[in-house]
Amino acid sequence: VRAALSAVWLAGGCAVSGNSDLVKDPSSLLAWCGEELCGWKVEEGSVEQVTTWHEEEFGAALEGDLTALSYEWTPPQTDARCFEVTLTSRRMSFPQLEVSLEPADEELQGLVWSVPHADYMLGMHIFELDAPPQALRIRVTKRGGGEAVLALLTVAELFPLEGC
Amino acid sequence: VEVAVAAALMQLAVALAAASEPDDVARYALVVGSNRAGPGQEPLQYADDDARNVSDVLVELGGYDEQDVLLLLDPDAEMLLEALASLAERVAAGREQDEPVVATFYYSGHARASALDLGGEELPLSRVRDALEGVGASLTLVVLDACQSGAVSRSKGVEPAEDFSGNSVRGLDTEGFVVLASSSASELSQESDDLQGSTFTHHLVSGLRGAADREHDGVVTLDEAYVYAYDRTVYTTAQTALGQQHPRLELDVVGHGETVLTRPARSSATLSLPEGLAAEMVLVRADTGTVVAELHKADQETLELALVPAAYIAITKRGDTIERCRFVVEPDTTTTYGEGAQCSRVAAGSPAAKLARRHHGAAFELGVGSLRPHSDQFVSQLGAFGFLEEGRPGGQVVWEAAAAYPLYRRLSVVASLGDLEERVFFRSSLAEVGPAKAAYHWASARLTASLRGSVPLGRGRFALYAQAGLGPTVVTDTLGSVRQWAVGYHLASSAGLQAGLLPWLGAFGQASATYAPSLRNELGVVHDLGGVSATIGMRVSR
Repeated sequence: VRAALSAVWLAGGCAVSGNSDLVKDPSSLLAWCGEELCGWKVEEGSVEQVTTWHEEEFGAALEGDLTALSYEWTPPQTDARCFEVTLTSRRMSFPQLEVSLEPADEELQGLVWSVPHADYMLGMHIFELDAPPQALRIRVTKRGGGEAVLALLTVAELFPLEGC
Repeated sequence: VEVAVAAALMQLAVALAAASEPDDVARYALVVGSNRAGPGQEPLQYADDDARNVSDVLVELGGYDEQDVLLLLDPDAEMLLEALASLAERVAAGREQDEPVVATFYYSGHARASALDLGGEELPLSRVRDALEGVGASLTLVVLDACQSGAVSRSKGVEPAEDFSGNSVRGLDTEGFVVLASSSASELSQESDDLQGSTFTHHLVSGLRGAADREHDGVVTLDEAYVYAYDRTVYTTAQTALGQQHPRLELDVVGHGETVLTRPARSSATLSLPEGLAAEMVLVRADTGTVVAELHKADQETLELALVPAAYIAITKRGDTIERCRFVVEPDTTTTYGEGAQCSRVAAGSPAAKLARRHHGAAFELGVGSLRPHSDQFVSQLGAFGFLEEGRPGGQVVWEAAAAYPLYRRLSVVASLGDLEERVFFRSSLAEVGPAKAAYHWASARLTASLRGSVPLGRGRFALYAQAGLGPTVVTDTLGSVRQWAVGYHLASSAGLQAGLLPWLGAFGQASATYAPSLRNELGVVHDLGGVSATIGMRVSR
């Protein structure tokens, strides 16, 4: 696994990205179909719907010692190899939380972001793949005791002039 | 220091009429007002106005030519002594014509035990006495409305009058010397925000304008003026926290009958208060808001007041009925009270409350301004949940409506209704959320009860004020179609400046700070709906 290039935690209220010229179409991935997450596959453990900052705003509570869920995402444009992921989450106790990007292309290596602890603050991470992927699997994994709540998860293509 | 001849202060027609007195008496006056405070004293508000009012009435009704009344405002000691010397020169010139000469010296200002306080300077009364003794008039009339500021703010001391009269009256020549002092030796003299002047001078001038004419012969004598000023001053000051003030009159006059001070009947414009009208009455000039007379009108008497032609408002109290009338006094005309006046009744209350309401009625204010809201954890957390705030350059527009009611001269209770923060946030991404929850916004309002303290400036035209209060806050927040309500509290403080445009209309500007922790999210984070704001508006008073 290639090390992530950067990981930044932002206080809320700052924009999703530092340079809007380079970020295309951030997509919010945490949406609910009834009490189920739309489009997500729970691979391990269980996920429950919980309220977050408003009684009509929901987050995904990852329960159990090992919980993993994934989302198949196809980038709107095929020539992007840099992706910006933002995550707002909260954790009780200190479970480990990871977000990984796994390209569908066999020749490309996946990348992992080990999410720092924070209490509903906006975190951002930029993934740089060796080449533009055709599709991505976004996987969130929680390991260890204690609950983790995902409130916001977005991903966006990044088109930097050099590198990411 | 301002020196001004009284010419600019009255109308020419009135002056000409007053100047046509039939007697062959030459009259000269030095009228001094000093608002300036010495060390440890508070500046007076109305001493200059007192002097202007005295100057006006001397020219209008006292038979003084405009050029013979020297109005001296806020002088230093040297300037006052020079003015006294000038008075002596003019008196001497008059006596060369073999005419009887009356010289009047009036002073309103601070004083200590044996000296007039002229800002940072003290002018010993002995020097003033010597100067007046040297004037050499047939009759010298000295009116002292002298102030001393001690533990009680803007109170007027009595010692100057007592000291002055005790040392001067008995030691002067036999032509005649009169001292009219604002209070006795053991009392304080007072200014009044209600009257916008010294209590004593206000009633003295009212009396000179005709209210003191007990004989109804069209002239006001020294005795009548003194009795009237005494009665009204005692009556008015008995209702104040400082207690009663008893004016003093000391005479050393030989060979004179009654001393006529003014001739209201010869005024070009008079207000006649007819028989059958029995009331406590206050007359206020409509254009300036100045109280020109406050008097008791008895049922069986007719009273004529000499007034400057203008529009007036009269507030009369008859039993439990209070009436407010607006009328115009035309030049060269006797206006009978009640004829052609626009009158309306006002609500009655206790006598004490009426006194306050008469001059400081309830006021209604409407303002609009700009609020700079707080950015706190609540707001920053919305960013973490994917919201971006709608930009609002220049701050948020807020409004406020208020009613102020006086509790005391400088203290009012204020009830105000206004809006607080209103903010709008939009989702930064709608891809998977949809438009149903695209926006989150809230709006809030408050009802505040405050206490306001104010300090008049510029002869009452302006007032600085500060206020603090608290009250309930209502906030509604909406996410998509889901609306919630919450009630909380707030604390508010303001400071501002009021300016009078008309007697009943003014403007104000104020800066405010409000703390209103009333919006709470599901995570327990509380948002302060207040902020700092600047407001301007209009003020209407009853």
